[in-house]
Amino acid sequence: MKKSRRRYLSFHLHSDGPTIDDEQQLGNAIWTNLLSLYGEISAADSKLYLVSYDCEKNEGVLQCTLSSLEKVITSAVLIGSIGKSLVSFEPKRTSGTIKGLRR
Amino acid sequence: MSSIDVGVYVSDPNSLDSFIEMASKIGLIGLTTQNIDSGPIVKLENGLSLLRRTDVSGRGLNSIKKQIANVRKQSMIVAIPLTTVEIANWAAEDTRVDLLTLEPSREHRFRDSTARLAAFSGTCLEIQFEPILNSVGLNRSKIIKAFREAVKTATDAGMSVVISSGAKHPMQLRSAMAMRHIGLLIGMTSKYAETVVSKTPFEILERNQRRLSPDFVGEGVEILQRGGND
Repeated sequence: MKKSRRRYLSFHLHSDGPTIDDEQQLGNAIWTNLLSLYGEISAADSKLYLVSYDCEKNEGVLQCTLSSLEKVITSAVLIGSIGKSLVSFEPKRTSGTIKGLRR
Repeated sequence: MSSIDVGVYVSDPNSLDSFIEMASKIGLIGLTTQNIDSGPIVKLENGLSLLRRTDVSGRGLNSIKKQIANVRKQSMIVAIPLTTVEIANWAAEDTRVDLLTLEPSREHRFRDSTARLAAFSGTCLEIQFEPILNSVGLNRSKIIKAFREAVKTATDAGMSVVISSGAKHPMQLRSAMAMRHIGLLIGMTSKYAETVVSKTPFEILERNQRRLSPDFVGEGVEILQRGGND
């Protein structure tokens, strides 16, 4: 089986209320939006994974397949709120490696 | 990639600072507001431009026609919501109108004939994505459907499209990269979405700055040099 190519996305999550300290909550919000917008097969094929999330800086890194990168970004930017906080997801950079994001 | 958000609604003047702060954070270089008194455009110290936007609406076409002559010289962006065919076609043809704003909740359809008239006069179709952020499931699907149909109608007729937030809260603002991805969602190609976000708003701004200049007489007619008394 051919290995799918991965992409990493760095992002900043702006929030007006209390900081989102539960990274699972953020991951779920992106998954839910991806599932709702593009369906179960696209969500499954995306291999979406929240690699890291810094609650203090509100910055993190997502991993997904190259073919689903646009869908994942679209799903994430359409998140309007998480819990009681209004949020704005800002995609920063994409790269094939985590190291590439830091350059 | 930088952009200007031409569809921001700052209802409370006290919250303007939080909009400016958020816009700067996400890399926008301009945003519109209805509440500035010092001219159609204000350049702030941090490099951000505040543009005065006026949304003209009224009971009928005559009411809109009366308002537009007054607001044009005082506003950088003049927008008219897409309502009846009569108003939409008049606005599409009138070069004083910058944007025809699509309201997905309304019953009014965006017609091919309107798009063709707008393509000729340079009026752009404005898609505000705020309703997509505040809806889920079937409601969101209906809104996306309306946006995709309108974008297809506009692009087929050669009419320009512009994406704006329609934000009433700073957290509803999105960066240029985020807006480009929303463009993909509503049926644009990657290259076209990039143009819509990072070129079209600047073209509108440039055109209006030229029009608001005292040397501008009419389309294609400008004062290059004023004659002296001697």
